Amino acid sequence: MNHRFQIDLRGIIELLSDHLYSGPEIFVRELLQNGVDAIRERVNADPAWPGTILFELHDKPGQPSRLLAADNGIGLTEAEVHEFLATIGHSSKRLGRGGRPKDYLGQFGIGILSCFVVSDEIIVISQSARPGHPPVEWKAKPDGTYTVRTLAIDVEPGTQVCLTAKPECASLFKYDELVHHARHFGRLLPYPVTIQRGKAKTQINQTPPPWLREFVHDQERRQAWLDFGKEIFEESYDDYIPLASDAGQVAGAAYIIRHPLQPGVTQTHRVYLKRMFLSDKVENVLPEWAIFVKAVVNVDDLRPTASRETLIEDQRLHKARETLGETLKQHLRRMAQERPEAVQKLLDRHDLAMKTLALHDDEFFQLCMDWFQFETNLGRMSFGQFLKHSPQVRYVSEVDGYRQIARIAAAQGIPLINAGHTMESDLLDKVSETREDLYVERIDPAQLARDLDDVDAQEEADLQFLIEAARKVLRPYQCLPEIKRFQPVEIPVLFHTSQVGRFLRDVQRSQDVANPLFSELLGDLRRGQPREREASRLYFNFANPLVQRLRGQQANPLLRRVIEMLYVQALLLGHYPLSQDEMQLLNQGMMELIELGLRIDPSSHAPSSLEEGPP
Amino acid sequence: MKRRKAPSRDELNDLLFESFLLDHSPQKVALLERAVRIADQLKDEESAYEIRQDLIDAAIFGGQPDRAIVAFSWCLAVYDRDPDAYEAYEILWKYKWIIDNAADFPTISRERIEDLLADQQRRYQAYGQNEHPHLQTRFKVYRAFGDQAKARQAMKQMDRLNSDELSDCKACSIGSKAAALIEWGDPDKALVLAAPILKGRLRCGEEPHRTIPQFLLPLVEKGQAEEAAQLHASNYRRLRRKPQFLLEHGLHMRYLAFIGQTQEALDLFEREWPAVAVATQPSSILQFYLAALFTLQRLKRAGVDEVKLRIPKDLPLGQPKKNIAVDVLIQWLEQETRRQAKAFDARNNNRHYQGKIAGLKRLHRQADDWQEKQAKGQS
Repeated sequence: MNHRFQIDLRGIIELLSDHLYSGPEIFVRELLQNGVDAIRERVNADPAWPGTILFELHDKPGQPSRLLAADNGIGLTEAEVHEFLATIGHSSKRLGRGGRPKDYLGQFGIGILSCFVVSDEIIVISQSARPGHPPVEWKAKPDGTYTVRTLAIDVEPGTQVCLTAKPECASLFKYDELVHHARHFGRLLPYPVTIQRGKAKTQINQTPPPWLREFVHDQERRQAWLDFGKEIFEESYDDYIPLASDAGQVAGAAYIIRHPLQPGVTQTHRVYLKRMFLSDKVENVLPEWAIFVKAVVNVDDLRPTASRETLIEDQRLHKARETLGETLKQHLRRMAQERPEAVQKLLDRHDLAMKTLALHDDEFFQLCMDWFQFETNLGRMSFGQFLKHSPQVRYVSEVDGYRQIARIAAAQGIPLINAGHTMESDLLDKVSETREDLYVERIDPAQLARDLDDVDAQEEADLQFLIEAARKVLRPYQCLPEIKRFQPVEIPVLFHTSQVGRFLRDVQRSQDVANPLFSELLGDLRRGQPREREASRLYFNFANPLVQRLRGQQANPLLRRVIEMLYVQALLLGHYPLSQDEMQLLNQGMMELIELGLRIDPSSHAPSSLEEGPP
Repeated sequence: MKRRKAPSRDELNDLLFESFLLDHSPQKVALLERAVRIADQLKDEESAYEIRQDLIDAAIFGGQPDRAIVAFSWCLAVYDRDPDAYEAYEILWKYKWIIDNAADFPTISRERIEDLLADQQRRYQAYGQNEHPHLQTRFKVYRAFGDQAKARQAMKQMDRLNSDELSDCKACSIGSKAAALIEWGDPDKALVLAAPILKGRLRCGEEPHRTIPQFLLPLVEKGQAEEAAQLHASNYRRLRRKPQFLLEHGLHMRYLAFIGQTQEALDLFEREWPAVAVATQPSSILQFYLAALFTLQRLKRAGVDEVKLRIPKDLPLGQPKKNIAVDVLIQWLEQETRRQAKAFDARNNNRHYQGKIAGLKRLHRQADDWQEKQAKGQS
């Protein structure tokens, strides 16, 4: 008896492989799913029923490989075969959320179609476990024709699906490949799944996941959990955290990642849905701060979206995520008490992830703020150690600003933290908000420089000429001169520039080479900057002997050069690349000094005009 | 005298390694700028060029396009001097980012940007490209100018051609067109166009991050609130605390305020506000503040006079977390958005951005209607 589908089957297969199936190997998942569903139905009726799934490969040279996928589940009656075929025809009406039919027959129909991606013929032989039904055979071709007949043979209850490899899919029917895919999808399945080819035989889910096993010894338990992580993610771990949540019925394991994480990445986790592989790319099963672990979980009561790569954001998921997050935190807290050095290692390794966690979570913040390492002008140390040196917490929130000022601050006896790296200043702000016993201040490096000691009125008057001259020299470089007195005395001048000032210096270097169009464009950008004419300052150090010697030198023709050279030297010491104009200052200054040196008679040791002491 | 260690190859390598671990972000930009300074000091032009190329990527996708423009200007000059030494494709590819980002600065004139477009066109032609990639840049630039007629025209011309080597990837092309269609009042067409992105079938480094936020309100207004809620939750996770997505943060905030989740909107505002200090994107900041203004106006209409808010230190209203009058915030945001909108409109010679401020009134009406309808549906 020949029947025809009422719909274009090829169209449906195409549609499905676009939308539901990510690759041709998905037929393995669908065969497993059908087997498991059939067994579950049978177990419902007979809880002690030992369900099994067997995939048998048959290949003879010169012939296409064949796969026989057999389960000992509930089986189908002839009427049910017709019903599921009808389901295929009406599948769109019976699709549940996530694009899949909700009931067993519907699932069977949709699942079996995926086999047409790899096989040009599907033969299903099924014997219902319900008494009084003969075995039934269904043979289908992708052009939409199929036959159904009952068989007059004795078969054990269950279903067998027989596929014949299309030439382009031959590799999927290789033993190793099939074992690989079956393991990938079915590793957590509750019924034994065996792949067989001749004498070769592999059960792909021999050991259950560790959260479902009982252990006698701690060592054995630990090894089993770690081995499982290695098997799933092909990476070694030395720490694991069991995960469990009643909401969503989640169980699984999180593994602490050993390689340093890229800040800003989101972590993806492997999720199984009712013991069947769902996706490797699920992000939202754990809180977003949990990027330092890789999790593998089975969920029984959460729903995937149609793309199968995220879970639907609903109450259950929120609750589950909260529970799992709390589990992670508890683990870290326990670790901190029992193995503080392990936590330190973890903090160092996943610095950023841990800082994020501390920032978002008050308890975790209290727990580990003191352990975070900072660069300070007293050396690198943990925040807790720094507090022992200085109850006052002063920090600079950008690296370059810190670098300009750290040494000067140290010389004035001011301990300073470099909080210019990601999230460091946020953490210190949080310290200031939560710990009233501490004095926390963000230091503006420019302010710190401005706060250096002023000279007295007489000294200022003495050097007024120097400031005047320096103002003229430095004007083209948007830099203002000032006189201060500061430690260490060996530093004649301190160059300081703000973030805007540094940016403007970068703009200048580009303008030095840019073509006219881009030079104008950069000029436009420059105009858009906040007006900071005082972006840069050059502080002359009155305590420095060289600066002392400049007193009374207003008439010295070399004064201008001296200022220029001090300016350029300060830039070089601060590691600022020079603009073209500054480079020219350096070159001209050098040449003039060399010339001056050559003019001096070496035998006379006549002091140069600048070496005369103050009057 | 104790000196800081001289800049060295080692320090340069350390910086590059560190930056390699970072996502595009202001932190990465800062590291690479330091690396560039060292390379410049070492007079290592080849490294200085390559590092600047990385810097351009980090700055464009890290929310600091002005820094990309500075680095690009240098690279283009060096490239022109010695075109055989560097890869043409790389610098030409980046040229389009430079131009469409330049258009987002009100201090850069239309004439200057037209000159840049002409220069780009010439260079793309010489490289053997059809007009598609150039028209794509034009389309984006005219959108930034708020010049709908010219943007439509560029889009039409562009759609007649096949994409070429220097055109945006498929996801980005669709994303930018869909955003335009929404702005031009055709969300249905946009929805059809962007379906592959929204459904997760088409992705790239920038998508679906940038496109999803555009669709949150249109979906709500089409009665697909549940879908909008899912997209909001999954997408905001991707963008959270990333300053380069300031514009998108604004769209997520506006959505939350629109559907009546004003406290969530305010939390988002507080969380993302510090990005304003580092993201150098005037037009994104303007749109972010517009969403904040809308949020606070919603709160006020709901009878809230005071909110507890932490405001970034560097801003005039900067304060630790404590109460502040809603009126004070509204006034400051109005002033700030008006100032920026005027600057843009003066450059663009139209009222595009000021129109967006005026458009808030209509948005309030729509939100009122929608929330009323929801309330009726519930009762």
